[in-house]
Amino acid sequence: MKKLMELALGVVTSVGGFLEIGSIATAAQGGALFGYQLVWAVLLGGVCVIFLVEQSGRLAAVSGHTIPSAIRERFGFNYFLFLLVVLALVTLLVLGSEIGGVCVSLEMATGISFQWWAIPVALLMWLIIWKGTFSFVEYATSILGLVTLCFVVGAVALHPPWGQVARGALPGLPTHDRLRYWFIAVSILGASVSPYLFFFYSSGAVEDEWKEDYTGVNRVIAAGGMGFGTTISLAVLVLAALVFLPRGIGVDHYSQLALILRDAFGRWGFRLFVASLGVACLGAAMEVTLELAYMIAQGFGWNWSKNQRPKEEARFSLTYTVFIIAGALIVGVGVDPLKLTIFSMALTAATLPVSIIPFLVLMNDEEYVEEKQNGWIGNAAVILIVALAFVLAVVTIPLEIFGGS
Amino acid sequence: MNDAITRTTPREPPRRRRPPRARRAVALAAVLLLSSSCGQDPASRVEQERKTVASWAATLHALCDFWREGSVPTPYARKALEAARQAMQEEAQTLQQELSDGKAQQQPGAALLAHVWKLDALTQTLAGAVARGDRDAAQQVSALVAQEEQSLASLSSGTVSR
Repeated sequence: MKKLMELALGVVTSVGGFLEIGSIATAAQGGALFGYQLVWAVLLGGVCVIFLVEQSGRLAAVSGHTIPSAIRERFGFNYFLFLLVVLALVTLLVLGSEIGGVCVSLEMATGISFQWWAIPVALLMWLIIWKGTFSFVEYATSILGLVTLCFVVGAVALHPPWGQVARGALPGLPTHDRLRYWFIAVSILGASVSPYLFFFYSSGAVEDEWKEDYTGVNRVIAAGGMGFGTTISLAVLVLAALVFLPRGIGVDHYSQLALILRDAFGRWGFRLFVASLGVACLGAAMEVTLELAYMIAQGFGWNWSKNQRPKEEARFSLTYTVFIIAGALIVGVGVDPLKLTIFSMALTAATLPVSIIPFLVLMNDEEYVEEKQNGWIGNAAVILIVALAFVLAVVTIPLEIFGGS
Repeated sequence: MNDAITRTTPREPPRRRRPPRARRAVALAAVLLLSSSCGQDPASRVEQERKTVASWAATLHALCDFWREGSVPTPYARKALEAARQAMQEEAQTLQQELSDGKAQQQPGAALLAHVWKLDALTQTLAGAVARGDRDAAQQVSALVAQEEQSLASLSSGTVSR
């Protein structure tokens, strides 16, 4: 019964915690510019993240290791340091995007520019993390995050042409703006397959003291939670294709995003969007912050646990405090949150091999996962999707920055 | 011991040269990448700018209508209009620069610039209407923006469309 409760709660929190500024912005841009043509990118990202989350939970349940501590032990300090620097830089940009998302939702609600919200939002995040336990941070934000299901309701209510949506599941060549198409595909993949997501999941599994008998629960949570979560991203893309594309609205600025739910919900559409964006980004911002602190603390062997009091893990607490300040600074100086989001998601895709290749080595190492090693399907799916994301990112990011045709 | 290892370690074999076909493929990929990043012709530039301006015109139209019917609140409409104005002014600057550098086609570029100025003026009028809470004025602006949208669509070469 206890496991069944945990399973239900796990799926609910995965669904509620799935959506964040990256998935919303990239899927909305994809739908607004290319209709249903990028459905495949959302699905591919979803499949990859299901595999990765399941694997990270399995690693934690069987070995009792989180990913960063296992990487440091297996590959040595030098590789860990390299991974830490790369991931910390990219994840800091992601943190800036998520804080930016909360600030943008507050700007939409109040009319006060998003930069002014950076410090209050940072303070709120810090207070919740400082005072709350791991379960509180995870469950409270994820359960509130269930409001994001309004995207699914909205998409279904507008009766999309399901045949066209299904055809979009097969990758195809764009009829226009080829570079933009591939760049958005990369950003969608980067938003779905964010290392912070499955690193955080493995930390959570260790915090919740998962043992080997949790591998079944883990599988259901990963498939159910991430599967439903991907459905929400897909709904954002479908809504953008239905609402923005026919009107000719490309999502060039975050203010345009707020119109996405109006056709489905009328006056409530704006409120639901603002609530969804604010809650989803606040939850994601706290997860990203904690993951940055977990990664450093686990790699350096410090005390780390959100279930301990801050004075018992002073270095861990100091680390997340510093990252919150740094993330808030990025937003406070006025960097455009939408551009920051799209860029940081593409950069995430470009750096995926740095974290995923050693992770896959661990998942095939008997010393860590005993007889519960990866099957060939799990290995092949993750390698193919990550390779695709990496190649596309390496090709499209420079062209997008320097202005391609 | 180290010396022994050094002595017995076989010399690294000479690095294999890439076969000519592979080198040609790499060179071709590099040329394609470079040409796609640098080779935007003046007509494509104007078309790209036109799409951005058309997107903002459509946003302005939707904002007008949604604000009038009360689907979006006034503080949001005010901020969104600020963003629209800023985008129009940036577009105008970019187009002027590209026209003077000869990077954008003169005739359609100049026509597009005229539309940008018109839309900028309409955005200003709408911002005034929103500030006063004047929904009738917003309706008039909506009709004018719709005309601009049609004109912008007719500017399209027809070869590239959203």
